[in-house]
Amino acid sequence: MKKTHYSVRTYIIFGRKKLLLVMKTSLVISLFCTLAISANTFPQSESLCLVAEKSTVKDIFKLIEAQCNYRFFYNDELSDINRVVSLTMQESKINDVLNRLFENTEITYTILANDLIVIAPKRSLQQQIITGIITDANTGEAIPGVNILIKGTLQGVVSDVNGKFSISVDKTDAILIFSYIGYVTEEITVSGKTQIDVKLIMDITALEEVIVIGYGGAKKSDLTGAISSIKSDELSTIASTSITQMMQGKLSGVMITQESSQPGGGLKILVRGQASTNADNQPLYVIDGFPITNDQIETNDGILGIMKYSSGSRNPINSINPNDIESIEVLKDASSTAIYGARASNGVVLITTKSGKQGVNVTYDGKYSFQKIARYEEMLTAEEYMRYFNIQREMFTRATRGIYPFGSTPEEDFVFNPTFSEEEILEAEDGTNWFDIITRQGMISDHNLSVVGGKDNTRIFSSVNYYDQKGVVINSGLQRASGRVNIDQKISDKLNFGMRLTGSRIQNNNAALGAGVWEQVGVIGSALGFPPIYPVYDTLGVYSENKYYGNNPNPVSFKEIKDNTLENRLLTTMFLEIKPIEGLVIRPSIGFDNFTSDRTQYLPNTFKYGASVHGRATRGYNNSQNYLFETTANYTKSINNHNISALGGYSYQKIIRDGFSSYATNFFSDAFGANSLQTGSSEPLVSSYKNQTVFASYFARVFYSYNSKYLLTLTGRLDGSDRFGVNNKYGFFPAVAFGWNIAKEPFMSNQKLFDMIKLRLSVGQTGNSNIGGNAFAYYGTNINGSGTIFQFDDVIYSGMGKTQQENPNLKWETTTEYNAGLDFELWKGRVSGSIEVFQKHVSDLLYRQVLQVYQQVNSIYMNVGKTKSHGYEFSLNANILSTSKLNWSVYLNGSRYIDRWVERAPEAIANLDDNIALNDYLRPVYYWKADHIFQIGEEQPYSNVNYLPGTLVTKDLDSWMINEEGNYIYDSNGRRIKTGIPDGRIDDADKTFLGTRDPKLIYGFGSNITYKNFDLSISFNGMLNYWIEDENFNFNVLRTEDIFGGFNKSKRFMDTWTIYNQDGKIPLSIKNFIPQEVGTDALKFNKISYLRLKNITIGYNIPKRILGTNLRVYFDGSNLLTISNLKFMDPETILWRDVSQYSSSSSGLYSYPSYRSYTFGLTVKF
Amino acid sequence: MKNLKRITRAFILGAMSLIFSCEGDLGPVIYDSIAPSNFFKTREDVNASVTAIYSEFSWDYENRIYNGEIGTDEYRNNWGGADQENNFEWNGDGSYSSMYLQKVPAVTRAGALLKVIEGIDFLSDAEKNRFIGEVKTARAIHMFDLLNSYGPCPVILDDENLLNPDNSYKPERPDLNTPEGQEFYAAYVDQIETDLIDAAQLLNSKPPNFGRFNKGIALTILMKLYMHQKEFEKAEQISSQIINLGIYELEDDYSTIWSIENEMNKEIIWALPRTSNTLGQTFRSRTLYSPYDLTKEDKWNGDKVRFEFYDSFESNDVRKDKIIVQFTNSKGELIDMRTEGTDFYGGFNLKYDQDPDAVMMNGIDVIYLRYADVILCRAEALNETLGPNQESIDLINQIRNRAGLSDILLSNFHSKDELNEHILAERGWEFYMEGLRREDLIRHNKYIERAGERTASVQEFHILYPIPKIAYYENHSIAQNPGYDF
Repeated sequence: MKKTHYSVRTYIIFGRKKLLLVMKTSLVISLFCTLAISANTFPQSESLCLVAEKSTVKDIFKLIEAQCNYRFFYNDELSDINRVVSLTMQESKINDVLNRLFENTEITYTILANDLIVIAPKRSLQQQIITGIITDANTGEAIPGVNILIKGTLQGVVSDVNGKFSISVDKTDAILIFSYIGYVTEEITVSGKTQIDVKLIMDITALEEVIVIGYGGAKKSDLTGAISSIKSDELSTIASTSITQMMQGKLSGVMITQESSQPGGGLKILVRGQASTNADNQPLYVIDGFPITNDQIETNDGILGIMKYSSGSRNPINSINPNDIESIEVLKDASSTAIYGARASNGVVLITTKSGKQGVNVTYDGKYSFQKIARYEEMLTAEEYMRYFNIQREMFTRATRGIYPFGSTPEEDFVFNPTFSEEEILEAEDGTNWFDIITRQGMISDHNLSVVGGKDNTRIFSSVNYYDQKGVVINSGLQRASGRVNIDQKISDKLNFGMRLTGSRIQNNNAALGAGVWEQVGVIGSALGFPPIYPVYDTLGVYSENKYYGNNPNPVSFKEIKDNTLENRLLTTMFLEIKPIEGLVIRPSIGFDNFTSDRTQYLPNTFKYGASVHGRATRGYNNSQNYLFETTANYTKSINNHNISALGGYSYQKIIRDGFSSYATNFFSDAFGANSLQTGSSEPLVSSYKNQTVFASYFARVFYSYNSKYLLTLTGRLDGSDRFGVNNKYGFFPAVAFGWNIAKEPFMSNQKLFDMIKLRLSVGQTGNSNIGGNAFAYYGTNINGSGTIFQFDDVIYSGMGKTQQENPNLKWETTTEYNAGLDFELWKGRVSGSIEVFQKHVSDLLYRQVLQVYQQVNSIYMNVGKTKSHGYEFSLNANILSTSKLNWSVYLNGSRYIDRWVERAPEAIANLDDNIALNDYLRPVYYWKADHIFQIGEEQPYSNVNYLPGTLVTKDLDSWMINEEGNYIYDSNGRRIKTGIPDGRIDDADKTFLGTRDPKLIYGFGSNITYKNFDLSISFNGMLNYWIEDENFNFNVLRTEDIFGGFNKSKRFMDTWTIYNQDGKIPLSIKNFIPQEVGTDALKFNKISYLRLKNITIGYNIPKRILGTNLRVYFDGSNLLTISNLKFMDPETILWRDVSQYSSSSSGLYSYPSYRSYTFGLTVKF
Repeated sequence: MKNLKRITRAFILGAMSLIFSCEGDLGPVIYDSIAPSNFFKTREDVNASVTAIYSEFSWDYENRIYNGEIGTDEYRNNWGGADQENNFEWNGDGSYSSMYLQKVPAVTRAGALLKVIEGIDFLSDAEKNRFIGEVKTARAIHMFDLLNSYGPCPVILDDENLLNPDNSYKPERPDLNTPEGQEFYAAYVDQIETDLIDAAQLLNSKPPNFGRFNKGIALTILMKLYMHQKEFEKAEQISSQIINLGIYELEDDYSTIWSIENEMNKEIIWALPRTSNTLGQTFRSRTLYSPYDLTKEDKWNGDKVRFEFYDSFESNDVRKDKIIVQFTNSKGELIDMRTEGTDFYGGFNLKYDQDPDAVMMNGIDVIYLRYADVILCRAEALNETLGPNQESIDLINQIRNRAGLSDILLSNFHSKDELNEHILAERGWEFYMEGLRREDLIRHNKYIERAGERTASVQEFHILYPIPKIAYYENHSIAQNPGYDF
């Protein structure tokens, strides 16, 4: 058979014996084959000499085979083959010989390309060749591997890589069936056509779509848990470093917020709220089966605060090339997540990368994008600054001396010498717009090349990506180069091998970011605060200084800092799939994830701080090594209508993190940067750390379904960790889920509305093991946050002291979650969607109990307290139009979660503000309510506060209950009781519940339209009604006396109340003269909502006939429009992070400006 | 097929064996700390633990200055809240509370370490005694600082609670106005006294390193304790013991006591060794304000010397030159702090010289105790016991002469009070901004009176800071200081 390669494009069934052989060959070959040669046109030139006496036809074939290259294909059982003939032919063509041989018989022949001669009954070979190309109706892309079968026969072919096929039919009324997984099967009657091009429509019902669940996959129709899923083709093409950004607004129940707009900036993903109060609320990320740690590896300010200036927040998942993603699944309810046990209570994000496919497919995707800042606080011009400087100083001086309107000192005594004269003010004009100078147009270029291939038993997906972003703030940027190889190798029928390997290298250019204030201020804060009255350079050509506040470095001088972080990541998993018996798959795997970051920073003499220490060089290195060993066994069996699938497994994971950092100062030259620390003549400060976490786990899952109608899933995981106290080494996390495909019930058979309706119920337990190494006693060099070094003579020595108390009982937080879900599809899949409601009870909350003051160590971690979350999610998809030319679909999703306290530690209650309800929201905002600005001549409204004109008066809403002796009355928790009646005083009793920091609704919606070769997709997302404490308002608008302390103010500041602007809406906040403790800064609390046009993509597929390749060009606009009542900052990046039980920290103060992004891209498929 | 079976079998076996081998006992592996079972095994462990006790003093100078100066006639600070505190608008968690929260646990740590050291057998007696003497001095200083600020505090001293810390234990502190309170007070003072007497015996007058506690430090603290307790005879005796050690003398030049060239000078009894940048101090940055553009140092515009105090100096007193109320900036403009602007509310205290290597973390050793203090305390103690006397006058004149001032004469002082008044003034001029003023004013019963001249909010009970809310809330067995109602 060796000569048959590359020749057979159609196969014909002769009989059982040879069928197998022929089919096998042709299936394989046709997939590779790109040649389209018709057998009938093959030239036959070889001549034959043949003498045969009383031979069978078969013998004559053998004679011919002996003479020349021809080989015969025939069915032994054909009667004519064994017919005895005599034949003599001289110098004859093969055609002549065969014609003679089969004269007047029912047999005919065909000579195929590679000298293969097929002998068959005439009716089989009187055929018409039909060719065509099969494409996706939506994308226009060719579909390889489509099965084309002649209806009523077993004859068929498979389309090649270019979607082309060629098939012979012997009847003009033959019907061709085109089928391919994931597409709606088409039937087309030949009726004389020789060219049939087919556009297959995606099977939107996708009932049999396989969803990745933990340790395996499941048919969508069989799912019993709450899982949101997104496939790569649903991820938009926006120019973005990260996958998570693309997911925003597309997954119900998943709140994704951008923490920072900086290149590669961090995103926060919350699955169903944030019910943990002290442990982390991040979900577990699992990439191709590898549970990774998604903590930012780079300690933000280095160890021991060695790094000056924050590098901002980063999203570690940036190291994964978004183009490599096949699908993302978010496991939400406990029945889906329990398989990940002690790490799963915040949900699990499963990321699956692409695999190789049969054939060769090369795709290049290139994007170029530019960015413009969307909105940011506008600051005063020089002229305005000088004017308001004078006015505010005058107000302050009046207040100090008790002059009108702040006191009764006669005004005749008041002589005010303004700092800036009227002439100076008039000459000043705009001055320097520092913010404009430190920002610029951003740029992104992104190149991605993937080569996907497969042949025989091997499948390979490989890709390389280069991404280069220049941020909108000077010095900020990111370059990423990454590569991936995914291999699937079939070794035998019983053994497969697979590997997922990706490496990436990210070079981050760090601008000095962060919410630092005063002398810690970063580049953005510096630019906002630096008065516009100074030029960039003074008359000597050096950076000008702020005379009124010398600690603020010149904003432009930040560009002198060299600050980079190099991140390298190698993530690989390898597995075997062993199938020893039918239905059983044993899958051992190993994985390794090595993630390093290396930050170098140099503050040169040209920068203020650098100059004061004669150069400061820092290097910080962090390393995370994550090892995984896993073995799973999965057994599947179907008996009649009973399906059972059982999974068992063991997992061992070890994570080691260590790091080192050092800095030196006093460099005689800036030339070394951070590359030669020993050159600094100061003694370098060094610091290092190392820690380890181990998990050892057993898990099992049993899935049972009866007739795909009743579904049951039982899951359990036994998790052990060295993080847990000695008395709680192992925790068990069970879950059970039930599903009911109602539409399959007989009583539903008469209705046409529902194709599918499924009810899901689940309950389960999961854990949150993000409790750190808090269970053990340590001696160390840092007691309660203070270092233990001390100097004797001139040498520094390290001290050791008790740094942590042991808690042998410390364990994971336990979450018990109930979920009810309803999935439905209406009108033949036109409309589909799901609704979920859930309730979570978190107990054993990680709690840092503050010990009595006299204890050596100030706190111990314990499991105290309970919280409760409930919420709902919905998602809706509709295919409004679906024709071969026009497709239009829309989606909408929304979710809400409410986190509440159920039980708090008694000492936490004792420390709680008396206002706060014990079963309160987890992130409530309590404050005084703003009322009006106190005006000149107004009567003092309250007995206990002496307002100055211009101050914000807050509302008297309530009072404390007081007994006859005038003492407070306390409830059983030792908390003061409110009366509900205003008392003419402003005090803590008047603080009221304003709202929570959690949104009332998180939503996303969008639409996809394709018309012929055009496509358009639009997506929106947003959040409704969440409270923020606007630190930007506090710093840029309030704190009015800062203006003559050398800080520029926002344009909004011009509306500050003064005696010259008594209608002003911004209150005066002259510290020391205006009561601080009664909420005069209440305006900084705001309830905000927003709707964002996340992106619009317009694409055009240039038909292949024009260029010879598949080419798609597209334009994408991101973040083009944000509608929000927060006018001056981005409503997302301003969100407070790290809101813990007692404190809120790290506001969006001086956050990296968000930007609009315009992208042009093209995709070429070779 | 045979091979395949073999491979499969090997893999399954390998997988199974890994299951049983990986796990171990899941005991934590600690890399960058030490588990208790591995500690206190060597001399170096003990040495490091004692170093940690010293490290408690590394940053307490800020609290000492603040607690030692607010509400006094020489000090102002305009940082958030500090002005209110200067005006005696005190609640239970002001900046003056930090010292309590730092030093109460520090006393426990010192006590616990003493218990460990006492039980150790691998140290020589000499070394063991020195360690014990150092830790006892540390504990006594913490307790004395607490006494000065808050009165006697509920600290952990007994073996049971030091060896087996139990968070449910709530130490008592009776109301100081009751007999039990008086008893508690006396026992607290006794403990400091005992520790210091022990330490003075155990320690040499010359320590192995500069910065370690020695006999002179223990004695000087003891003298200050007696002064505080107005046990002037005992104070006088101790002062002569210190003088007789013969290792301390007054520097000739007041202006160079705090200079970098003159570190470890003979006037220093106790100082905190400092190195610029890593373990520096921030006295200058705390006080400087931007218009003083003659140096690159950080300028935080905090601690200031009141103008009235500045004006109280005799005109030719060299000591006042360390206070800057007028200067010429780098552009040649004359800046007068009194008139320049609203945020200039006092003079800069530049006792510490500039450290050319430092922008913020000045590397000049922080001087906690000076021999001049011993001299003036002795003068005061003698006056208190004998009334105006020539030795007191001579001692005061030693200090005055160095400041470039003429002698005072015994004949000008007709009563103990008159001389005391001068001593109080002289101490102000000598020790301003060194964190001693509040203690001095209180000892002379002038703290409330002087404050009353500036603000109406001050009341008699303000001679003690309140016990911080956090300590009082977690343990209701602690009686709040008299006068405070929270």
